[in-house]
Amino acid sequence: MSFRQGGILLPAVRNLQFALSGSEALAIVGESGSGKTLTGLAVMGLLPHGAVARGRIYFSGRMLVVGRDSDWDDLRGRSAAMVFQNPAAALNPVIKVGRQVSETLEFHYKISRKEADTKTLQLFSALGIAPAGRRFHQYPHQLSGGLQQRVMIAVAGALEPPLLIADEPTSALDLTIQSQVLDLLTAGVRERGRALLLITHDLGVVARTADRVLVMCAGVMVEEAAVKELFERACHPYTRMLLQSVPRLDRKLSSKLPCRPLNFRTASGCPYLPYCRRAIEKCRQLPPPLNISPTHRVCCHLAGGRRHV
Amino acid sequence: MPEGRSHFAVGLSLVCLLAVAALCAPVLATHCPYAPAPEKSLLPPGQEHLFGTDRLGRDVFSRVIFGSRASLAVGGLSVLMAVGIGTAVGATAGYYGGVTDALLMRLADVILSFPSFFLVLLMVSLFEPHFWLVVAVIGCTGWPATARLVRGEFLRLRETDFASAARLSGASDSRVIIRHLLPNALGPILVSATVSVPAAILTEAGLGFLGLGVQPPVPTWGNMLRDAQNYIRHAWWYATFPGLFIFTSVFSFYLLGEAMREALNPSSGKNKSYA
Amino acid sequence: MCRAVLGRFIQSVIVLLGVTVVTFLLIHLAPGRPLQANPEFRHDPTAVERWLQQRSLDKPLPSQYISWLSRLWRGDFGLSLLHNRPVAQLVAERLPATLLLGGAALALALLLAVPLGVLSAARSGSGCDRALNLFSLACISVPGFWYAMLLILLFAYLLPWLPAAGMRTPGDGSIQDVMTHLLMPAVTLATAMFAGYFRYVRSCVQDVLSRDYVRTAKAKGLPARIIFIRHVIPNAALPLVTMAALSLPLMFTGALMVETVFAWPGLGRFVVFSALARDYPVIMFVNMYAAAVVTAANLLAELLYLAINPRMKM
Repeated sequence: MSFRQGGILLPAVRNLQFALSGSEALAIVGESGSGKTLTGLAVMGLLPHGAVARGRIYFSGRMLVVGRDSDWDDLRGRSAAMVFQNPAAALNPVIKVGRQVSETLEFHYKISRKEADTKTLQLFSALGIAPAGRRFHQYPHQLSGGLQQRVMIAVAGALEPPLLIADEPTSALDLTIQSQVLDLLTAGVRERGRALLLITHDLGVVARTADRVLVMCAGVMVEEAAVKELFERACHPYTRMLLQSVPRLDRKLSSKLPCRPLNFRTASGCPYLPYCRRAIEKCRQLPPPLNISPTHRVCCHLAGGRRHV
Repeated sequence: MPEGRSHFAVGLSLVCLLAVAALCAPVLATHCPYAPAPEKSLLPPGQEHLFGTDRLGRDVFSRVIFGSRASLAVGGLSVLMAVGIGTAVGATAGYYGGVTDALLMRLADVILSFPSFFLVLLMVSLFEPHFWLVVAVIGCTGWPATARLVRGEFLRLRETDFASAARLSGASDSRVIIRHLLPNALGPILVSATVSVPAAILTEAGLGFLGLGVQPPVPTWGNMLRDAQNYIRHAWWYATFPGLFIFTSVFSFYLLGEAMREALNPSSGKNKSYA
Repeated sequence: MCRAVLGRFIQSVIVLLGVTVVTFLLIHLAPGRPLQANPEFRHDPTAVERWLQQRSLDKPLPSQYISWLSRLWRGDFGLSLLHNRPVAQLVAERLPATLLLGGAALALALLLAVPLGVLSAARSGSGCDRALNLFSLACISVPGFWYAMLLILLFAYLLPWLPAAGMRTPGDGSIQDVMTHLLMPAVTLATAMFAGYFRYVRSCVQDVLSRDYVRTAKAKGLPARIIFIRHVIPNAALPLVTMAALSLPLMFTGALMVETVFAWPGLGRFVVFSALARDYPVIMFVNMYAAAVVTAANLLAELLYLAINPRMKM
């Protein structure tokens, strides 16, 4: 996937491959600009204009071509939905929040506006948007950030889609509200067998929410593993650096974070190459994913056979 | 954006072409723009007279070329004046805020509340028409737009960390304004200046058309059109060519300004549209 | 919200007072006496003295300003030097023609600019969008009076379909006659207005289309048509209503150049003639009147924005 700018193609995400099944929460982790959000948008068929993408997505047996947005027309909302990063901007400022949920129900289920409104009120109560009756008639700017994000979740979850994508759902929220919102999202996975694709940079959020983690760096996947495995036995040097950069009281920050942006322009080669202390000649070519165990993939020439370096 | 680039190239080359025409008018002109030749009055365009002749037998092509001098000079100088005053007022208002800001901006509101050409007409009609009067009047009525723009930029810039850092390190107000803040506001000022020039050219042409601009026999596009008004039926070339030059110069400046605005603000619209 | 309205109102009054000061100073700082226009004064010096005393023009400036302002307050705007009749009356007589022309042009411009602007933004970057964009740039670059002359040449002389000037044929009082006279001036005036509105509408809709909530609406699976009607248009309508209110003065102040070229018997042409004849009371009054109309429209625009924007309702 690339961006066209002034006649030059700027690669944004490349060689990304992953699978996600029901009742599972997969987190995509990476720093700003690593291509996490674009990946989420690509899965929704919502890539911005100017993006040039190639790829395939298999959705319960159907093949969707990335970049051909019309493939998604009957899937969006009903089969896959998305919770966006900044709820204040993602909700329409001149429409009452209740209506923003009920219009979806009304359109997809072909029901009357009244029925849709009743359903919306039930949904609001279930999601802790209280008092539902009053909130229904308010505009987004009249709600707190936490409530706005709950409304956003109601919008996305209204049609009970089997796949929910959440792009930094808690970044704009207070810590206490964060956990409530995360609980709402995981409840959908545990109770309704929904698949959740969580896009975040916050490893704390990953630890408490996800089943599996996929680490991205400068547009490529570097490592994928079950949460516990990754936190305990990270193989890729970038992942380790990421884990070590989480501030902890009992340890001094030791690793040096790359202060230059990671190199997007190299068409081939490991993106972490300029910072890797153990880089070898082979690293100029992008390493293929290596299965260390059935639940652990890593893209590093040096990871093979040395599981506990 | 290739579209923006081609606009920029076309606009810039047309503007340069006009500037060259104005500078080299004596070389380019085929005839004297002043000398009347009654026996050749109102000749249609031909080999001898590229754009025909006017009612006094003067060569329209030569007069149009010489006319570009007055138009571009009025456009350039009056905008220089407007942008100068506007920047000074806007910077002062935005930087100091409070009562200064309120007073200066109310003054700008007063000027802006006159429909633009009305105030120009009022001021011009009070004095004897003259080149510098036209420049001064367009300059004096044109500054509030720039002032508002610069004020907005300064309100934003004065809260930035680098402005506070400069202040804390003991720089004087004037130094902070000129050395630290102004360079950061230069882009929008330049764009506003570029799109003000064509407006000034149009105003000058309008005044010339009403007989209130630069006075004959000095040719300007505006006063040529005034002459041509009564001959429109019999001599189409008389009015067509001066007007075409006004249109082309105004168009190229707008094209240039638009391309510059896009270059300064690449995220605006266009690339990011969801529906 | 009441406080905000009151504050804006007071601000408008202050601006209008400023307008009277600027007008007054301009007239009084000008060199010479505004009397050349009236032949009565040319030969009789004592008549000038008497005239000045009658109008207390021999007192110091501030006291002149105060007495002038109090006369304005009583609705006495002075007599035209040229016509020797009350200025306000002269203006009122010419207002209907200007309203007709301005209203027709405004309606024409808006009817074209709004749909085309929305279309252009929806197809942003397409050939149609680029062509319209260039066309609108051309429209604002055309000097109205020149364009008017070309139209007259084409439609009044080469193809004698329309009358070249005036508002009605003498002796013909029919509406149809006025309409044929109205057509060319209205189109000329609308061309320039269209360009401004088109560019504004286009950028407003483009801005709304780039907002996150439009993406949300798409993620909900709503079809493009519904997204446009329910999510895009209502948001773009806010600035558009403001724009419509701000363009009202165009109807009331008249178009100086277009009215002059087409000899349209409206306010704009009257202003130009008065300026050329240095009929100062008329110029002063018309300037203040125009400034008052603009200020009122600004106020109206802001109040409308407050009234229809749900973010302002608490």
